[in-house]
Amino acid sequence: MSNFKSKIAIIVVSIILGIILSIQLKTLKKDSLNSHFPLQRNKELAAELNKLQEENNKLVNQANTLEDKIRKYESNVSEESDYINELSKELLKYRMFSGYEKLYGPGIVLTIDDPEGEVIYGEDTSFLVRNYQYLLQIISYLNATEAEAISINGLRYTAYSEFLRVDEHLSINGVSVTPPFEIKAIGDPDKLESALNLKGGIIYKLKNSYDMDIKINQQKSVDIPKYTKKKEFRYAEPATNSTNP
Amino acid sequence: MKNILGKATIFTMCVVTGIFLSIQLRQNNEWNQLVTLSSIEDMKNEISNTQNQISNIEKIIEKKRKELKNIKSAVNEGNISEVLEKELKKVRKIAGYEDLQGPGVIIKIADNNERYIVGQEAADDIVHDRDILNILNDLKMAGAEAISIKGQRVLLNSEIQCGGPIIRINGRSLTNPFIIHAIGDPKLLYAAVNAPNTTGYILKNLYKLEIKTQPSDNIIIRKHKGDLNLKYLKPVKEGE
Repeated sequence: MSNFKSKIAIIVVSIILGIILSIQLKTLKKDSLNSHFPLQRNKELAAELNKLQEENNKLVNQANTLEDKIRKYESNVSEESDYINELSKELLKYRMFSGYEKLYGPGIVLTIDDPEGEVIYGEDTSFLVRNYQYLLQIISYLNATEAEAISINGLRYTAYSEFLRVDEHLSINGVSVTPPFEIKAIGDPDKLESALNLKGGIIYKLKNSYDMDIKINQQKSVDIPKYTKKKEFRYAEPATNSTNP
Repeated sequence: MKNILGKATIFTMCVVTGIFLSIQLRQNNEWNQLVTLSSIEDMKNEISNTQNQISNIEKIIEKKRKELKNIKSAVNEGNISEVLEKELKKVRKIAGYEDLQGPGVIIKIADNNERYIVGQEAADDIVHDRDILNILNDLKMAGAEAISIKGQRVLLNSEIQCGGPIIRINGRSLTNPFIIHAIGDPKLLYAAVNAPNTTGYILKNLYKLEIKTQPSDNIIIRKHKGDLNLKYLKPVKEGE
């Protein structure tokens, strides 16, 4: 009799175990279908991305060698006469200003990151991405202190650089970037730093009200890349002198 | 004896089941690793961005090839100064040192002058530097080619800073109302200020600021008055 009893007990336990297991597996499967994709798909996409990035790098190199050749021609002839010399100097100045030259000079490097634990409240996006206007304000501060060139995460800030929030990252110059953001600026390092550190200023506010992680370093030589897009006007033409403003 | 045999069988069965189960779960795990939908979205975004970059750079290469050809022939014929002058003019146009004209929009932004304030304090009813910054960013997003605020050309290094009752741009003080001229596709520029959830829309409908957008066929934007003086910038020579 006791043998019979123990057998029944084992059968009941097995059945319960089976049911629990199957429920567990089913919910897991449902979950993975709804919100999680198999790794496979992601791997495919990553491979595609890699290939594209390689191609992109190759093309950038090609564009750079062409640019070098042009520059060589220009510098060779610029020694011919004073006028041409002057002209090519002017050209270089405006090119540097508007973002078509790789630059270096004294300046500051500012890194800014979201406070830790931001994700706890179920926010998918970062504070900085959602409120990119603060980055615009930092850039405006730098400009007010006569910064001569600015880059963000290796992207040159130009007159045509837009900040656009796309899901969980920012698109700048058509390239997506995510925090931490590294803003580099060339200019008078002391002036730039003290303007940023103004009490009640933008950095003060971000640090004290929003708990942002911000570091500002002065550097003797800051490298700033050139703008890689080519700007062509489609609507604007040179104004004729006869028309009034 | 019989009892022991039965127990042993059950025990081995349990062990075997356990091993099977753990193997099964492990295999499952690898295929169901947590790859969220949003990370896939991210990846897709990245891919389309890179594709854009590639097509962009292909255009640049084409341009450079032409430029190289031009400069080669110019060197041979000895009229290099013409090529340089043309290039200089082009760069000055982009930098904001040339007068420009074209289709675009005129935007007027003014404080809310009604007696009853909308926000908690009067500061919620006036135009701030950050509002202008956001609107300029929206215009750039819509492809504005040249922008001026009350006649001040917006350069890439123009600061938009609050200075109490005024807003400073290019070192000049501007006061309310602010009139922005922008050259570009008028439809896109209009939408950049008026489409729902843009800065302009929020300021207009939530904060009741006065914002008027007027598309125009011909807008003239004057060049920045002043010289370009660079003290700190040095070009990096390629190959050094």
